[in-house]
Amino acid sequence: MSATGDVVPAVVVGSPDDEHARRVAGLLSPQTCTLVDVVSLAQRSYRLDRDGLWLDQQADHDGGIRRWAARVGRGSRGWLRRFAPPDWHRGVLLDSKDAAVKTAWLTLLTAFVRSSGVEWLTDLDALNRAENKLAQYRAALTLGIPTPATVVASDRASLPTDLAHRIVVKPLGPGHFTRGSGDRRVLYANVATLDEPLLDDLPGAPFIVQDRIEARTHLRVVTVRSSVWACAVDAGEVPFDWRRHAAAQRSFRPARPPVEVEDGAGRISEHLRLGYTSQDWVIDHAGTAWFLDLNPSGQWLFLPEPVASAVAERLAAWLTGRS
Amino acid sequence: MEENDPTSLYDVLAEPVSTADDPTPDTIETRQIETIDNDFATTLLGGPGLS
Repeated sequence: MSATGDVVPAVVVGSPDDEHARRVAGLLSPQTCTLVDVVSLAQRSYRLDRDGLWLDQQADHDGGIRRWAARVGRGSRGWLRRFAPPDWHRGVLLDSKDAAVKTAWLTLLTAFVRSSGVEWLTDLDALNRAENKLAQYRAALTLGIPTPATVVASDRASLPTDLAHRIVVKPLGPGHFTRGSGDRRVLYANVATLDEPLLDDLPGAPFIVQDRIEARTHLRVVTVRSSVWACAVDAGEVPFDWRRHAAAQRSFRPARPPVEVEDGAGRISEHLRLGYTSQDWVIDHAGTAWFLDLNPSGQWLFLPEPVASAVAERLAAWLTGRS
Repeated sequence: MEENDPTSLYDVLAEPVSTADDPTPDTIETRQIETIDNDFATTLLGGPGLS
């Protein structure tokens, strides 16, 4: 049976409870933008076919032709924020029935993302590739953008001899986990030296070891296509990993970045085919700008105005084809 | 293996989430997309961590 429904110009893949997804979608009318993730999709009527994703089937009033409230597909633009809420998988055994059910929902959402004809701000493959920090470092090296010497090695003896004595150790894999007791744990970038005992535990899981850059200024740089914003904080005012304290996140101030940062942030985004990025850079005491890492779907709303609103508005404008 | 046995840097460097200091733990990026990718790898390729 054929189906009818109006094409929705914009889709945000994210939870209605996700502050960033909600902020962008909230700038657009419900007729213009729909918000969907695996949890909200499971609560709606839907159909995925060659014409896209049909949502919210309505009462049959016109001779058996189905009417849907919305269709998302060719002609729509989309932004991938998150497929599922945080902790959606918490406690689920990988080979359990619950895992199979959740994977089925993820497969459906991924099938929609890959097959519906929606033009994505960043496509799924580019997004996944860019989540890997070593892929980011490789991109920076390819582009000639300064980035700290970085290595992953089996043990202390396998680290290169020209690595700086003062190093940074940070996870290559997930930066958080939940213990069996339910306690949540997070991992930050940690400062260490090459002779510290903690490196004795390097063999247990791959971790990134890199030269420590003595930062004078931390920069959070956000890009949406060709637009670039930056906020800065004096390194002396915040912990080495500024995410450690919420107060540090609120210490950022809008800044005009050095031209090499603005240029580099744009080039690395373009190289990795990322329509949106949040990037971390530092300026050292000699004035050199170093790219540290990026998140292809990261946060920006902790940044001060007018940056926070400008980024959200730029995303919304792209979604509706106004830019 | 006991969970508390220090066997990797996850044991050594992990810190409790401080809800008092940071009421929105999502400020530590949850990397949900990467997690999802791992799930697909688990289903299709037989092992987590492939992407």
